[in-house]
Amino acid sequence: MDTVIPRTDAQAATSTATPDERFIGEKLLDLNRGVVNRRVYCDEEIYERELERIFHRCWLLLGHDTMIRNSGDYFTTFMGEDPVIVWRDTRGKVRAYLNNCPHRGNRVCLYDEGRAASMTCSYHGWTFTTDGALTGVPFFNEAYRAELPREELGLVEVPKVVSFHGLIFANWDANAPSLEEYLGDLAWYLERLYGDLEILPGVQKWRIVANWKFYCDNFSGDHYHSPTSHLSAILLRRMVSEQQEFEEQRQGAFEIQIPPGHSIAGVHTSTIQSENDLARAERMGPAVVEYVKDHQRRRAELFRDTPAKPNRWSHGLCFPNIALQGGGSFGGSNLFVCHPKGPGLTETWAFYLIDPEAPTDAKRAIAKDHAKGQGPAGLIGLDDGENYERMVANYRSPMHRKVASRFDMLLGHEGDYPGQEEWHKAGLPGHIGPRYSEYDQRQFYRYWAELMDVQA
Amino acid sequence: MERQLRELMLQREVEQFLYHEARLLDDQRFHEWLDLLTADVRYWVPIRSSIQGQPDGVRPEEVAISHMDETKEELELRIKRLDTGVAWAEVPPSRTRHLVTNIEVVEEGDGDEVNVYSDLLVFQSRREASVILFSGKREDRLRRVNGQWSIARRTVLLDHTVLPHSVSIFF
Repeated sequence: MDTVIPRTDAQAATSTATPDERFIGEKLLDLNRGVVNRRVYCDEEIYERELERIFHRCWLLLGHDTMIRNSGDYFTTFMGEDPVIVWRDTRGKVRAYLNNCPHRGNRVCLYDEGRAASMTCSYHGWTFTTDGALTGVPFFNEAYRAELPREELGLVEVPKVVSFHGLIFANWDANAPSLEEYLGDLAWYLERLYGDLEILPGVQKWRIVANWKFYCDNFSGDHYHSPTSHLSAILLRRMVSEQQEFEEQRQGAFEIQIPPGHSIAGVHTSTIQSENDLARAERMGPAVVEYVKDHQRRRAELFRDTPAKPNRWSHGLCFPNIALQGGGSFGGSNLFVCHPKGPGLTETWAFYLIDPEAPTDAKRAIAKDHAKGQGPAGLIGLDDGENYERMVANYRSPMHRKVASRFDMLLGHEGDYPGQEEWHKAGLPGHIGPRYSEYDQRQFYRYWAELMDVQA
Repeated sequence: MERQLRELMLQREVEQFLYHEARLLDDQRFHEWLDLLTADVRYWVPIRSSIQGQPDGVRPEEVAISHMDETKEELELRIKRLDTGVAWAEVPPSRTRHLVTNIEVVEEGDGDEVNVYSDLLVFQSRREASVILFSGKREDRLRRVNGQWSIARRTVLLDHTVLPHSVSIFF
């Protein structure tokens, strides 16, 4: 790949960039200058490498315990591009298996969800039970003369499956660090903001024309896009998260990067959310008022050890591909998993978790609200998807691939943030930064580079 | 004979109404489309999943997430968003074609409200050669208000468990 394109006099006259800054040639990243080569998005080879180095080594979210409450209950999902069955066994333990018959590679589980004591492959009738064991082989004696090593031919099992306060995480890498170690300080937030909730039934699934990293680095720490991308929602003066950010005052709003590549961002601690929730509850009746007051009390209790009491977070990312978002008593705690489907395609699954104590009317209001924000018809998510799609539309352009993407906002200013002494009094763990910054995203790509074993 | 004639007339009215509605959407006359909905309309696009033992795949729970679950005010908000001119998912506007077919009228009660099933294929194109297709069945409750039909309830059962694209259009 050429590293330098000769500039015309016209370009020389108007551009302040030297050739080096815009074209970084063979290097995939140069995070000390805040630039990322666009090949990391377009390139098939890099994508294939990600499937191994990212999605076979990182902890991934499968779903929630309350999706499969009883033995035999199952749902199917993906870990990277690997289809998996998530199945609660007869002892009540959650197991995960590659949805793939060890015989010839047919799909074993045919549904998104259900309940079964066993599953039978429709090709040769091999049958597997909830512990993955191959318990049924037709004509085992006559056809196989009992020579088939059945004990070695159970479903391929995901070696690590862990429930973290109800969130089911899994890892293909048997030697991976523990989930707690992997999460680091994010565990502190997940426990308090996502712990011991229940799923609101119904997982929205939709495809967007985007590299999974577009969606994920955006959720990781992009506030800068909100006034432009989400201008239409702002103009509507609705109670959606971007709008509320502009109404609430800066005191009590934090961007928090969590090593190595996580973040919980757009964290708000002001009282405006709580006040709005109470006002809304008043309009819905005494049962809902009681729920909201109780919910607020319990949340304050969860944060009794810190001066700050987060009540809303508009972005966030559990590396690699679990976007975080959530709100007060009507916002739920939400997770958007970005399943990669190729360099230019992502399938997003939305999981909405709510307080099990919420009365039906509150749950109904929450469920209706969620369809308006981030889901496939969401007034916020729609415009993000459109931007990503246009970026993918440029993939085939060689010139597009020669220009580096920039994540250089506040480069070199880490730790040099006006007012940061005040932020640290909030007592929230992690690297706290200002609202408009691309530090979180640089860290996302730094960790990505480390796992991919490429220079950053 | 009289009954058959009445059924024929009703079938024709309902078909023409649904075709006219589709035309408004494809011509981007969204406010006029909104006027075809009653004030108490529920516009619902549930999630469909492949659930073992449950053929239609719509969640049985009393409260569940949907793709869309809108009142008339909420639909109006979506249209106002389009009016801002900065709803990027529809800038420039999609070219759509709503193909409405298999229209069946099920008459109930005194004839001022009818249930109607129709099938829908929507072709949507945004950039150059892009093609997005949505398929689904609509279960509508139409109500005659001042001699004009209007939509009092619409349930859209899309034929996708994973939507092929985000949804910036109406079904």
